[in-house]
Amino acid sequence: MSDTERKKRTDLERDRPRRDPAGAFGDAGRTAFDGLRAAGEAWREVVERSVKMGYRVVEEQIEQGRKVATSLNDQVYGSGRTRDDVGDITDRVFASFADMTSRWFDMMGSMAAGMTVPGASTGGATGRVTVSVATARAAKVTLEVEAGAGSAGIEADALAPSKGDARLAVEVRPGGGGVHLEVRVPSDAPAGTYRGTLRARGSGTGVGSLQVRLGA
Amino acid sequence: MSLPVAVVPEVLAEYGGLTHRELTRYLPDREPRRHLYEPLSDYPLRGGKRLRPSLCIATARAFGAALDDALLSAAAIELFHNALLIHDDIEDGSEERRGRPTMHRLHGVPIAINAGDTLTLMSLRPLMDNRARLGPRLSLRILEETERMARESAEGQALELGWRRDNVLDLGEDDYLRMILKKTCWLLAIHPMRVGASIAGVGERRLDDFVRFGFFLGAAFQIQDDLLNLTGEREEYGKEPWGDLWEGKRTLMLLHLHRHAGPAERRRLTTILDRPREEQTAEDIRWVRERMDLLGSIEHARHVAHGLAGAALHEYSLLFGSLPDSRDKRFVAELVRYMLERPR
Repeated sequence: MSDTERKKRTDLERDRPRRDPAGAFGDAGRTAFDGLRAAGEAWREVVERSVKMGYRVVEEQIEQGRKVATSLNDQVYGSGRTRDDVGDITDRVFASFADMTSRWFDMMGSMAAGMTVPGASTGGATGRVTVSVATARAAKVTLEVEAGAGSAGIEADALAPSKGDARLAVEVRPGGGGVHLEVRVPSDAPAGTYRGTLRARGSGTGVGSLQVRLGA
Repeated sequence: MSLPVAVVPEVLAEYGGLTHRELTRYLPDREPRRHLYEPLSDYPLRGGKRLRPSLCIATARAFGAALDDALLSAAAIELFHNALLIHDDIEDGSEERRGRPTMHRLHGVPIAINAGDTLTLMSLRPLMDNRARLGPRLSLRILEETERMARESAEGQALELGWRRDNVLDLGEDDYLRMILKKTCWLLAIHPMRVGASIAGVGERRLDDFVRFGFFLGAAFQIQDDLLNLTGEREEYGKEPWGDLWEGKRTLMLLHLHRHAGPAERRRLTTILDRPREEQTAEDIRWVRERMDLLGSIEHARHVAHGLAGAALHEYSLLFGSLPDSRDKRFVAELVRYMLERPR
């Protein structure tokens, strides 16, 4: 078949998709859609401007925060000290907080198997409260008790974790002019943080708390 | 837009419940009950969304911390938030909180102020108890973060209270964004995420990135909150509808209205807002609300909120994008959309 005999399709009215949906509704639709598109553009500008403004505002805040942090660090740590030197400062800050409300002691005990190690104590010669934890595992004890509570007599709730049914029994007995709290840790007690309330004997008013963080 | 997937309500219910249990341990059951400890416990026990503590826990977990490590900080955040609400309600002259009368309406201003003060101090106790679990260094770091958040929040509140007292209306949107960055975003999002990230061991250098993400997330939340006050249903919203207009709160819509009103309308608006709440009339408030519709103030704020939420998603991807997939990570992402679609 010669070229001249080949049949050809008529040229297409369009050779790409119609990107302007307004055209689908004729001229009236196009006018209405132009309005909408203009509104859309305006909203896009609103969004763009707001986001840019937001970034400007937040960057200002970050810069301001850096300046404040630098000046505070200079005041708190002084020249020649860095944030890595915070050990003693930390202790002083916590001591101040603790002094405001109650006596607060804690200590870490790495315990040999089968030993009962004194965990913490507070109070003066009279009204002294002492704690021991009987366990073969690493434990950290935090005892917090109002001054003088030991001389009035204390009752202790069993220590409980935030989740689960495990309990550590606390035995309270007189000792050293105050009270001694002995925490018994069953060998199958799950690792975790156990907390309990200390109450004044008789009234049941809360006078402190005992916490044992038990290692695996 | 589709509804947020179930992960947001699911996580809010779970982490909110854990926070509730933790914080109730810090609400004293002793005398003086009637004039201090019962009023003080009222707001925390009314519930609420528990967004802030949930965001703290989810951020900590998404970055690899154990849930228990974040619980005390989450409880402290929620207690502090409730303490601020007591004082905010007095300062704003608010009538309702979480569907019930505000504390100063129930107990009088002096009792409410004292309860707010005490609850603020009590919110420090879980942070001190952090020491046993997180060690002294990280616990102090979280206390420092808390001090910063409290300062930023107070500065933001001062800005807005000053504008209202002096009837300042000639404010730009950047003034508004600066105000809510301090007043809302720090406590709502920046602080909970920075604390959560610190617990997970994220270094201080990266914490600035949480200021960006928290700002955009919090700003979208605040604008949506203000919109709900003007457009939401009373039953779903939980606060007095149009309460922001009665209180003269400087919202994005109000500032837009002031900017676009004609001279006579602007004078009327200024006069209305200059009056104390008890001298406002329902007719005036309705006029302000109708003007907002007429001049596109509501629509404008909606678009701004969506734009800021978009920026929040971008910042989210920079911060969380490289973390392994988890429910906590999905929760934080979905929270952006939830902020815009929530009914209350």
